[in-house]
Amino acid sequence: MTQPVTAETVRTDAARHLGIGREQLTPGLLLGEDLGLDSLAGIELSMSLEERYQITITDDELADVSTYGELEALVLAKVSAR
Amino acid sequence: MTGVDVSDLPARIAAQADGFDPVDALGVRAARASDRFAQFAVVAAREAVRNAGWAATGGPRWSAIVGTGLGGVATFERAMGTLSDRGPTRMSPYTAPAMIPNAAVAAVAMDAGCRGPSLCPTTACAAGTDAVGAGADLIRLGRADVVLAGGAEAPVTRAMLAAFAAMRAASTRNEDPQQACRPFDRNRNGLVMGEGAAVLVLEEAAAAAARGASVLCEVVGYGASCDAHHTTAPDPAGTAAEAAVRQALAEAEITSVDHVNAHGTGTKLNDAAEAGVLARVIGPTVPVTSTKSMTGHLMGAAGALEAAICALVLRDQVLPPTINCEDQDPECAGISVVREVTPAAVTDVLSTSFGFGGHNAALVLRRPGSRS
Repeated sequence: MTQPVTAETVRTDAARHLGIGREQLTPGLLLGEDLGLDSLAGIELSMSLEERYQITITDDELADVSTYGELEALVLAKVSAR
Repeated sequence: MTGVDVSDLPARIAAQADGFDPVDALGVRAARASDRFAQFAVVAAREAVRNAGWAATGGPRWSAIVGTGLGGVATFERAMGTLSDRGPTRMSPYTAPAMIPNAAVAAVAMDAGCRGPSLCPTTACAAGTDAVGAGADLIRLGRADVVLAGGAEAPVTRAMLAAFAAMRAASTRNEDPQQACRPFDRNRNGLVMGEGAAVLVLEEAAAAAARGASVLCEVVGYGASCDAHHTTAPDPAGTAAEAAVRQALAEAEITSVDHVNAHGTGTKLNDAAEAGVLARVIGPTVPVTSTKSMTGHLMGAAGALEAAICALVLRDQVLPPTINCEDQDPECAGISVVREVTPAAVTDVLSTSFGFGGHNAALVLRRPGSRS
């Protein structure tokens, strides 16, 4: 990965995956209630970001995530620990 | 052919549904979470409901019955590729829910809010006809007020094209795809796969009339049977197939019809066996068409599509042709094959479907208000 990974790049990729505008994806949004992601959709989003950033998110880590902001922070932490 | 590598396949042709955009129809997330056959079903059901004049849908008295032959085969093939190329951790979590054969009926039920009984006939190429027959039965039994009945299939995948070629059921007339499906013709050499979905809105006649619906046709007869003979080959005696057709006619309280939309796949065995049945039951003068010559074979959706075509035949009083039947095979003698678009007075239409497994299904559809 040549480009630096920032909150903006994660947000862009997640929004594209979800089929919504980047500006709609704010950190406080709940993945379930606000974004309508069921457990399978959450797994699929996580897999998409894993693949994009060459990281691994465990099921336990994903289970602790309830907002988009938490997911974004988890991805950024994983990227910096790569 | 788009989206499928057919370069090394013996049968390299199919009637693809060009221009279908699942993201446009369903949104990016639903499109990614579902197989093409279920996407076709949802779009067809929405069109059917709209054409039936229903602005609001759903509730416990609404049912969905959507048959399929193969289910989400493209999803399964993709998953097998992922498994072997990238390992189990990259498997989409939607693999199982997207590929199960009832995914289409579930998607239709969810989309329209059908909370009554729902079924997924999987009687191979008879599934679409069985869906319409079973839907009419639900209405007759009083178990539903409205049934979204149809079939859906997206069989045009590399493995399925190879599989049907392997059993020598697919036409290999690759250089001449428009003339490849030749029902009842002496030079027929197999079916041509098609894809898509068709859904009919079924209601009790008086209820449809009371809400001022524009009724296309009445389902007046349904017959079904099983050859109990062979996994793929039809019973050449056609005993059970004939029984299904006679059952549908008896239920309609008639002994013949004005037109037949035949199963007519363009395979050697089907067309010969079917022509024998039709010759015995309805004789040499009733005009017979295989619209598969033009649409390709939609497998589990075929019977539903052909029921929809019959509804339009009854509305428009025009018979569609069997294209490519240029030299009627003596093995398919005893029936009158429609060769050209033919205006005709049509009150009753028979539609037949026969599936692998020996499943036979027949419907009689009637012009609304013609007899009662």
